[in-house]
Amino acid sequence: MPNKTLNFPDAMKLASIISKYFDTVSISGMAGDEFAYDLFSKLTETEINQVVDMLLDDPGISTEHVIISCVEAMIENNFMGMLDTYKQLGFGK
Amino acid sequence: MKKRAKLDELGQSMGDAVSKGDFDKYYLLSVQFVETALTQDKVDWNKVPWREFLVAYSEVVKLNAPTLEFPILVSSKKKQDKKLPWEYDGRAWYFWLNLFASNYGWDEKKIENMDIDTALGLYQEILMDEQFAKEWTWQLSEISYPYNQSSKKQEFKPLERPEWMLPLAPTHLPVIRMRKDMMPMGNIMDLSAK
Repeated sequence: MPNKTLNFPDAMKLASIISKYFDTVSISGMAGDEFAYDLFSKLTETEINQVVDMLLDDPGISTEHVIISCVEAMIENNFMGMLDTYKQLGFGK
Repeated sequence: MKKRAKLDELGQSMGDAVSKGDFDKYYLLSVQFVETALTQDKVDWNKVPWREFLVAYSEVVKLNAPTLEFPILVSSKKKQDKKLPWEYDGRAWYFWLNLFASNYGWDEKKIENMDIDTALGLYQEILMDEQFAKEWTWQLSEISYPYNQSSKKQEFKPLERPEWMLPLAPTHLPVIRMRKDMMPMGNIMDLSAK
């Protein structure tokens, strides 16, 4: 499935959503699937829709695939770098 | 120099946007920041990957930063956020224009095309000349010799210099051995961190 390459405002919007629940330190100790399910269990419905719209070209797939595809897209877009940048700019916690 | 002054102002506004947590404003300003320094046609930044946008931004910062370490740029005092009553958008350029036009009689075109290192170097020289002129006037005046009650004499009090003109403090103070009976008495308070 094709994933989107995020521009700067979308990348920072995604970082602002993820940084509500995780930081780079807490993520670094987690396995990929553990992080994926943990993140999606914490996100609100609005946030899930925002994340899916930002990352996937075709969100019309099963829930399980959406989560995996979103996390793959986050990794492709270097979401750890996004979180770092968001914090370094002074917006994060 | 004119564009450099605009970059300075945009940088300050970006800082304000960060302190207010206003990312949308920050992004608009950062796009303006990059585009001020661009020589090519307009870029659709919404189609540029976020990493590339950040690289473009940091290149603009790097290319427009002074290459020399001017003492005037070093200050331990925190800049006040309070906006002065005579501030307005775009003042940074008029500051430089007034400075060089009044001191050297240069025209707008010449000042506009100045390099940032030259501008900062000359700015520091102008401030130093002003300070030395003030010190000369100060030492000719009576108020520079206040009366000292303990010595019953008038003693010279030099005019205060700005922080960047003060002698550099040594990074490592020498360890001096002191006789025990000459050591200060009482509780020791560490004031080095204050």
